[in-house]
Amino acid sequence: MMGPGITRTTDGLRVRDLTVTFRADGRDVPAVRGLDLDVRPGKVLALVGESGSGKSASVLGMLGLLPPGTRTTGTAMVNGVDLLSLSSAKLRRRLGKDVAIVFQDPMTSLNPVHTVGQQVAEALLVHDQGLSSRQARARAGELLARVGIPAAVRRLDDYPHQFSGGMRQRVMIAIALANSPSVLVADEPTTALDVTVQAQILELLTDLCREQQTGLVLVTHDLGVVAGVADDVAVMYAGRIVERGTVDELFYRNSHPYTQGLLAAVPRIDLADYEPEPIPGTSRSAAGVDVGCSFAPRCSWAAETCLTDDPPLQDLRPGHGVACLRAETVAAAQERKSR
Amino acid sequence: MPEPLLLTGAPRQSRSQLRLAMRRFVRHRAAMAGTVVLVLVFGASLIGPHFTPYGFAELTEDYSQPPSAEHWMGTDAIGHDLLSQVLRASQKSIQIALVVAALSTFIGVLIGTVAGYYRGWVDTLLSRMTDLVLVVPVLAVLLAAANSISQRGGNWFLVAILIALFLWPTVALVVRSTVLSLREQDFVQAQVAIGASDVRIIVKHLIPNAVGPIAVSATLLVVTAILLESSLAFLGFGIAPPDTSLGKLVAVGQTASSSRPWLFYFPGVVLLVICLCVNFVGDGLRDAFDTRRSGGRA
Repeated sequence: MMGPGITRTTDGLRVRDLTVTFRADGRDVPAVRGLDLDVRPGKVLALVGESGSGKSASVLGMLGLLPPGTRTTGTAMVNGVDLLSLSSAKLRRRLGKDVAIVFQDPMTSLNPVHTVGQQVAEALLVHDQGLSSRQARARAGELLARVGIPAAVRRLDDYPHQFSGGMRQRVMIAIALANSPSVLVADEPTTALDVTVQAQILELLTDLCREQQTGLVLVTHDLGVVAGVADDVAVMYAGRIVERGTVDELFYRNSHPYTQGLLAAVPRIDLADYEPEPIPGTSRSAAGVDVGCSFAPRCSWAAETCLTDDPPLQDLRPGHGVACLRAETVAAAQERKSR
Repeated sequence: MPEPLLLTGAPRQSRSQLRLAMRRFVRHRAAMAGTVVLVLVFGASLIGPHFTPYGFAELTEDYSQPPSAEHWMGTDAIGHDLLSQVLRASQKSIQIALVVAALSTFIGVLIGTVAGYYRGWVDTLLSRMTDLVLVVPVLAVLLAAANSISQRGGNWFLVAILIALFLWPTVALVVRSTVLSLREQDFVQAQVAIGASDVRIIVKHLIPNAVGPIAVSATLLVVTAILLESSLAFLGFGIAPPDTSLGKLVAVGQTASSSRPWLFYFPGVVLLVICLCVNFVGDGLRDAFDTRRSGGRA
């Protein structure tokens, strides 16, 4: 376990041209179409999008966790190794060590027949055969204490059903961070939890990642969460990133009509008479997008060209990329509005 | 009875699912009665022969005696003491049943978990193999094979192995379907995500979660094995004389059931009692491991 303040040389996660294609009924169904992502060490990247936008498929694809028959191409570099080029046996050795994941539902992610202590210890033992079970147990206790479980050592011998949802998610975080991975993927880690616990878990997750210089990919559809904890944001729509940048850029100088639509749809209590505004139409997955901008059919800014030309993800400003043919017009309008 | 709430600071005990299942099992009256009777019968069959005055193969001077103080279960036409024989026979039958249950459960769990975990062509191959063994007319094949075993001295262990080779499919089917659903659980994917190997996932995570169905089908195998061995012995194969088994005693006694009923009824009733008790135990195990049935985790 890495103590606080220890930094280490890691270049985080670098994903290039990731595609994920499912096979259903003999047809290829694209879920992710050419995704680029950069996660900096110790920073939080929020991957935002509606259901079906491909955010979970992207992160599971990177880690080779999708069911067999799914095709994943591109590169995902962690610590100088391309995860996607590894055989499944070699990838298995990297998982949990270089890159780990926290799943959505802590109620089902722990094996009901083993004690919590055994399961945390196992995460250590899988990657360190030299570790004795006593040592593993001692470190499991430290890890549980570190994720804020009261009387951690005493609870090592408890079974998952004796833990609450929030506590179980803490255990999952302890397991994921057991081997100090360079990158941690959290796939909607708070969705299954009580609202009151969500904030605590997010804070814990981001604090620990910053402390041990782990890059965190936070998959979420909750923009409130994004605003609170993320450093960078990438907005996905129909299997692609439509806009990415720092949190401030995304919230205050967003230039993609979809990002604006998402933000306008968030209910707010800080403004009087604020009516959330839904985006017209329904969200679409990457399947069935042929030509043009996938958001064009729902976009009030759409022009003729949007229906025929594919918008590339281009930097509007350094560190702020937008995939919209009319980005500059949209950005200008946004400037005027906020002024 | 509701569980006491686990309050912080209150004395509490970690409860594994196994321990919870044990508690439920102990409360199951028929299962507990079955267990006690089985233990008594097996214990008697092991210890009893040291106390009976006659050996199971010993020929006494008393021919065709009805039950008496001298011979509690009577004697047969050539002077065997039936009590000694029944004890010896129960011992052999139970031994065979246990070996069969252990061996076929092992084979079944192995094939079932591999098929269920890997799916695809592995599953297809193993499942077809299972189906194949399942449709083999067991008794006919066993008779043919048991015949040659009888000629080789009727080793009970060989008989057990032979029976086991045909009884594993039921376990394999149960385990496969259990593993098929288990492998889709999040905790299995969580194990993949921490880098656990397939072997580790199967041994440490899938099999322990399938213990319930495995235990139940193993128990039921015990009954099947006892009955199958009895059928073989009844037809005159398997264990060779002078050694004996319950099936053999019933077979011999059956011919005399009207004139010397004790020869048929004593071994028959013991056979029946063993099978009934094992079934009760199986019922108890099923209820103990089935959380839905007993409503929650008490």
